[in-house]
Amino acid sequence: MAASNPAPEQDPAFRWPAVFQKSTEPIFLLSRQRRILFVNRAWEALTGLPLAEVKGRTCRRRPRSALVEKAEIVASALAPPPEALQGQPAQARRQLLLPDEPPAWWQIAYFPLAGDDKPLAILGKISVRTKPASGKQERLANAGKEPPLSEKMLALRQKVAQAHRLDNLPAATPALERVVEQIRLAATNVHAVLIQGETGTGKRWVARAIHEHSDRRDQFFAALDCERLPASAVEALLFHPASAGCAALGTVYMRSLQALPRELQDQLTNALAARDENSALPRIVAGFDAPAESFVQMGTPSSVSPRPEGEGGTSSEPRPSGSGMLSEKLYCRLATQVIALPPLRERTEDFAWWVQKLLGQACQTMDRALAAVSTDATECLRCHSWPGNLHELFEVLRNACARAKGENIELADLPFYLKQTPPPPQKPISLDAVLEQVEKRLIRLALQLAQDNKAKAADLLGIWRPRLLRRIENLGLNKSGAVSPLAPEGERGRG
Amino acid sequence: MQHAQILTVGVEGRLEGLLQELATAHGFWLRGVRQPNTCLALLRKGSAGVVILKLGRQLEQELSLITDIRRGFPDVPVLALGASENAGLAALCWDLGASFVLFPPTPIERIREVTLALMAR
Repeated sequence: MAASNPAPEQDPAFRWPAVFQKSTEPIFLLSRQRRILFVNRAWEALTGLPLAEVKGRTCRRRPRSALVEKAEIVASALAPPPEALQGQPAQARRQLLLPDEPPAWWQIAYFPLAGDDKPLAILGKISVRTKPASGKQERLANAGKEPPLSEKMLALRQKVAQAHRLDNLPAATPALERVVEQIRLAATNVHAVLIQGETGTGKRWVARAIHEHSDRRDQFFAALDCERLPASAVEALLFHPASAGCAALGTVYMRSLQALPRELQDQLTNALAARDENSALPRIVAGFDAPAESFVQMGTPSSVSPRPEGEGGTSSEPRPSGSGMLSEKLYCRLATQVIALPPLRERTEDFAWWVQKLLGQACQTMDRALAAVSTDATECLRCHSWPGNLHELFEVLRNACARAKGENIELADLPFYLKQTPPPPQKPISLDAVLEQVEKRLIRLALQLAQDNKAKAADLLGIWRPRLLRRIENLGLNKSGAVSPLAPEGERGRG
Repeated sequence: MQHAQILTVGVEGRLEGLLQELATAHGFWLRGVRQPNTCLALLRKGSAGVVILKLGRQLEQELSLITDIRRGFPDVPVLALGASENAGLAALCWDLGASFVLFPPTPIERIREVTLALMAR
C-alpha cells in the first residue's frame, strides 16, 4: 500500500523556509563559508534588519573598532565558533553593543548540518539573555550602573585569549599531543577537571586553554592560588561573586585546593554535585603540583583529617580544618577528567621550541632584542633537569636577557648552577626489550578480546596457534595473559 | 638584610596610610610609583613581593600592566583595587591575570589580610 503521507523532502508542496518562518525563535542559516543564507521573521524582528540587507554577509569575529554598520555588528556577533565549523554542535554567548541601543547578551546555539566530509551549512538559534529596553525605561534601568568595557579593554582580553589557543603549541611529542586531545575533550563539557603536573609545567595555561576552547569563552576566567589566599576571599568569589564586587565567572582555576579548610571543600563538593540546578557556579579546574591522590586521605571523616607526611604529624593524629589534605569526596568529584602534564625533562623533542618561544617572551619583558641562544648555552640548558620546568627555564632566560652583552645569549650569561650540571648519562635503548613489551601487550589484548580462546586470539594476531602458544610460554604470559612473576628473563626467546 | 617589597601603583591617601601601617608592622618595604611603566622598569631591576595596583587614572595602561606582569613576572602576584563598584571591570582584572581583585562593596580593610597572604611564601 502506498504511503498516504509522503516524507516532507519528497513532497513538492513542502517548503522548509516556511517552517522556520513560523518559528517564534530567531533562527538563521549560514553557509560553510560563514555567509548568511537565510534568517526568519523572528530574527528580523529581533535585529531590525531585513533578510535582503544581511544575505550574503560573512559572519566573522572582527574588532569593534572595525565595525561601523549595524549589519556588520550583528554579523560579527553571529560568527560560529571553531567547533561548529568543524561539524560539532556548539554554543556561544555574545554581547551585542549597537549604537543608541542598550547592550544585550545573546546565547547562540549552532547546529552544523553534516555533509560528505565538511558541514554543508550551520543552523543557528538565538536566545536573548537581556531584553533590550528603550528610552526612559532604559535610562532608569542603567542609572548608577557601570559603563560597558571599552574596545581597548576587550582587545586586551582578546589578546590574552589568543595566547591560549592550542594552535600555539608544537605538539611534537606523543605526551603533548595527548594533552591537547584531553584539553579539546574537556572543553566540550562543563564538568570539573583535575590537572596535575610538577610546578611550572603549565597547569594554569592548560586551564585557560580549556576555558578558551569551551562555550564559556565569552565569560571571564580567574585563577586562584588557594595556598596564598584567605579562604574567606575564595569562598566569597566562588559562591557570592556579587558581594565580592565581581561579575559571575565562567571558569575558575584553583591551585592547591588541599589548602582550603575542610568545611569549604565540603561546600564546594556539594555545589559541584548540584551543578545541574546551580548553573551560577563557575566551572572548576583544579591544579596540583603532585598526583592529587597523594593529598587524599581515604575514608577520613568530614572536617577532620590527618596531617600529611613531612609536616611532623602522624597519620593517626587528627587535625582540624585547613590541614593541607584533600577531601575524598571532592577528589572523586574532580577526578572525572584528569590531565597529567609531563615535566620539561621528558619533553626533549620540543625543548628547543620552548627555548625559542620563551626567549621571545623574555626579550619582550626585558625590552631587549636578542636573536638566539648560542650552541654552547643550548647544550648547557639541555643538560639541566629543570625541576622548576618551564617556569624555571623562563626565569633563567629572562635573567640571561638582562645580562647578555651581545646579540645572543652565551654560556657566560647563564647562572652558575646550570654550568655545574654534568651531562646526563646516555640511556641505552634496547630494541629487544621494547619489542617484547609491545608483543606482550598485543597478546594480552588479543586474549582478552578472544575471551582466552587461543585459536581466536591467534586469528586476531594473524599467526598460527602453535606460534602463539610458543610466544606465550617464552614471554612468561600465563593463561589469562598476566605476566608470570617466575618467568626468567633469559628464557624469553623469539619464536 | 633585604626586606620583602610591596610595590604600589597609583595608591595614595587613606589606602597608602593603611599599607604603610601594615609594612611597618611586618617589616616590609613599601615603595609607591604613579606610572605603570615605572613599575615595570622597577620589576626588571629586581623582584617585588607583591604589586598593588589602584585602578582608575589610566585604566587601559593599568590593565595592560596586569597582563605584562603576569606574562613577564609570573612569580609576582598582582592585587588590583577598584575605586567604585564595577563588577565587569573586576571580572576583567581576574581575566587578565590578577592574583586577587578587591572592588567595592568589599571593605578596603580586607587589603591587610589579602596582602599578608600574598606576601607569605
